[in-house]
Amino acid sequence: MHRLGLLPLVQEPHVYNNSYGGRYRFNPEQLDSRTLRHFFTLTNVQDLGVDNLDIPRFMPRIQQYFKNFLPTLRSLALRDPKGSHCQIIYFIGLFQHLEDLKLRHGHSEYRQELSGTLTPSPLFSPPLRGRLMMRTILGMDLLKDMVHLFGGIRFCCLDLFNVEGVWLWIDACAETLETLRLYPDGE
Amino acid sequence: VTLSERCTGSNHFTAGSAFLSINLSQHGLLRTLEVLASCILNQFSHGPLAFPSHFMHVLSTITSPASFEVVVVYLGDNFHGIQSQYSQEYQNLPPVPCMSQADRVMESSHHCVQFRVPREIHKARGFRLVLRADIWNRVGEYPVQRLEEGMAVAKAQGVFDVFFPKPLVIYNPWKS
Repeated sequence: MHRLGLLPLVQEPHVYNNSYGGRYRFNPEQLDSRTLRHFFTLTNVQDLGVDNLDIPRFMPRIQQYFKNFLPTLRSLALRDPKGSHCQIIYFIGLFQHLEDLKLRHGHSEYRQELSGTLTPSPLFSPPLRGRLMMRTILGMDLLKDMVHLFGGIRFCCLDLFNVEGVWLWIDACAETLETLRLYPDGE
Repeated sequence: VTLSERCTGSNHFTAGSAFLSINLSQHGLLRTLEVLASCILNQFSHGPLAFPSHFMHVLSTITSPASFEVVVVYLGDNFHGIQSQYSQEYQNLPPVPCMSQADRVMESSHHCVQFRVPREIHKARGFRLVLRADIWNRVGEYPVQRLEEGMAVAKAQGVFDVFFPKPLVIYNPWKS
């Protein structure tokens, strides 16, 4: 696609994880000069998916790496991102037009808060008025931090499975919620 | 249910208590509840802890004046021979199973029997029933055809008499 000059037309790229062991991490070392050149050519991305994003390794220059997505991104899907709640929220807050968010965790390192790590406040409070899909979210710090740092949450569609304090998320969207997906148990 | 139980309640409602604490009366814009077909259409799911009865409770708390939809989401494994999710290993398999006419009739009858569950749930609150097949696009219209055949049988049996407007079938293909 790069040779044909089509990368600027790509709207929905996904950085996949090829290892089930969880050892692979998407970090700056994956982006050699050639890959980085291709990465920066993606200037029309609206829906971005990233598996195993290693946010701490991108800090503090994470905005430089993802700057080409900032004006256009509407939907973000993170699978097993590494980092504290505040770092994840900081990453989400890079994208000022973000509407939809998917966040999926396995079981591994999510609770390992990086104590002592100072994360700046998000650059933006994205609208986040679309669909929130979350899987396996432990604790309620993420909700508290999102409400605190983004000034509330305003999703119109919630699809939450195995999320602790799920009804608090639902209540937090009371004024905007239009569609709710319910699950009975851990199926 | 105490506040702490409510706060720590995940979607693992094994005891069912968290569901009973739900009150959606403050969600004035709410107009759609989605639920997986495999969760709600189990005809053997009876009793006070069964999900359909929890769902009825949730439904009864909704005060939103808007016309309301319940969307039953079908995945691949709700249909004979279709995989739930796209995977490379299925690339070489035929996208839809080869079924005899008798098998098709049996599958349609199976769906028809399941449609009695939403009919029961409808007693809690009126809604439009939407059957949505969220299945990867390689399968094509096959699931919709099976659902429509099941609906035709159910309609003939009067199962859908309570629903107005009439139930809708939607195909929501995933990109593979």
